[in-house]
Amino acid sequence: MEYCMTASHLVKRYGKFQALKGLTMHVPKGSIYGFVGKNGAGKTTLIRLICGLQNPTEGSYQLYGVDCTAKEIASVRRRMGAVVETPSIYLNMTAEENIKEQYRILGMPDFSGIQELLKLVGLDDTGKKKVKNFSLGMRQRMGIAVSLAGNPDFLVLDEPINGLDPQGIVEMRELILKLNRERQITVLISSHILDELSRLATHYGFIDQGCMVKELSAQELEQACRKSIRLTVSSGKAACHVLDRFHLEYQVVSTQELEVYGEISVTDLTLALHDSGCEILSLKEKEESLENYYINLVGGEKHA
Amino acid sequence: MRNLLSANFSRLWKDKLFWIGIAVMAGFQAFELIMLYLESVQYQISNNLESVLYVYGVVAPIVMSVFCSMFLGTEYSDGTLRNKLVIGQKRSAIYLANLAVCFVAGVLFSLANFAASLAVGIPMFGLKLPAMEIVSHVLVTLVMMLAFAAVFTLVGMLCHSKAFTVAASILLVFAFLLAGIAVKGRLQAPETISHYEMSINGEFVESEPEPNPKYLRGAKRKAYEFLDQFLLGGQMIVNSRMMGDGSGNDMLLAVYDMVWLAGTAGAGILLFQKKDLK
Repeated sequence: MEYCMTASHLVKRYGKFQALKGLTMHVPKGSIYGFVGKNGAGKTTLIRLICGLQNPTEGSYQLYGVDCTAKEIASVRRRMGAVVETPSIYLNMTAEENIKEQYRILGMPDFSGIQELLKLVGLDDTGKKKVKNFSLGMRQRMGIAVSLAGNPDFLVLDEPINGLDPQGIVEMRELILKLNRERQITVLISSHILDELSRLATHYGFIDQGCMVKELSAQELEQACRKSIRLTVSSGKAACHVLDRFHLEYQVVSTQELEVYGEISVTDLTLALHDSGCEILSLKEKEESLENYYINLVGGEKHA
Repeated sequence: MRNLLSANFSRLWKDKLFWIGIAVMAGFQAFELIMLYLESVQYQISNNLESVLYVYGVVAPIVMSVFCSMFLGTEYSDGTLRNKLVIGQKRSAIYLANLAVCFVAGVLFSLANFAASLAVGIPMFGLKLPAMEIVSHVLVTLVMMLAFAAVFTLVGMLCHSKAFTVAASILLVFAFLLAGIAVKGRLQAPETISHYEMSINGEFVESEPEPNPKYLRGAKRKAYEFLDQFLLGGQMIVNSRMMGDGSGNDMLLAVYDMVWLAGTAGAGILLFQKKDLK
């Protein structure tokens, strides 16, 4: 798999406090990578590092295969856009002036793409309205427009839906999907709003206390979260024979425990197991949400 | 760097505070000259343009302290500094581009004040100084603006808080000025002092001059003379011809300004390179 960004054993210390503890991460090209973690887990710290706002204490990261310490990293960064925490925009300028300013910083030859960019984020009708008079949602979209000024391949969004109203959240989701599908922009989104992330992300990275707990694709997550029955039986071997006969997908958890996936007729299964001399000790239905999955992953008992 | 300069200057031309600064510099000088003229007419005293021609040497750094801190502080308060770093602009280039815009603003503030002096002052008082002397002195004062720009850029680029940057810059320029006045005051203490005594017949008689214990001598005087010309507050006084002082060695002042520039910009870039930004 080709990666847009990778990090290996990243450590970031602020005095005695260690915000990142050897974090390793892989953002596949073309993905929408949901970077999940609770407040203070280290999401923003990682984003600050990859955006060049801070330097890692130990470890390194690569952008498009170029190491963060290499000279070429500056030119690779031109392929990046980011909105870190709050949108980075001049409040006393209009939307158009803000993009013009970024065009100048980028050394763009002309201002021809500005209207298209404003249209893309739905701010083409703001005229001479100063950004300081924009709503929070408009400011977020403005921040994204500025970050898109250099036609980046990789967009980093730190908590882009924080504080937005439901309409704003929908607009932001649609914009991110549009950028990913139509412009093939790889998007790294950090968030702790899991429900929203689950509607967008193609890949996930779960971070807790400065460490990457797990990275997986949306398919893998779906697999892990899908509906199943946890079956505890007197004989696992006998149960396997029955499940094979029913052509059911299952996973052997232990000698007496099986995870059975898919729609099952519990009555038929119970009768078949009884006929095979296998006793059902317990039967538990399970359907995990992303939220449950995350809580289990980072140690739910700590957060109970 | 070219892109950063282009972006910074485009922001400068649109900045209201910059144009207010220009208006204040020009307006202040025009007002001062008119008051000086009215005073000379009312009290029949002879005032001249030369006494206030270089006053921008004191006023411009004060206006600069407000403008530079607000201009640079906005990069932090609006978070726009991040936009430059994210796309791979070098920190040293960002720092130098900001220094350049602060210097140009300082130069333009000074020139606005100086232009008002010429436009309003010459018709009222005339001008007796040779043109070359004026030009060379203006150039030396503008070099001082470079040193001030370097100091304000250092403060503005290393402080996260815009409010702190503004307060620190203003306090710094007044601290410089007060230190300059204090040093100049010590240097201007007379070598001898006389006091008046009442004679037997009731008349006041001036006593024989005695050595002034506050008069600086030897190495101490040399140190104060160095501070007077090296400290930017002292330079403000010398360059503006305040406190009746026109004795500054222009070349030496320019060299000291370069030392300030190299020292503050060097340290500033080094610290800014290592600074963790949010």
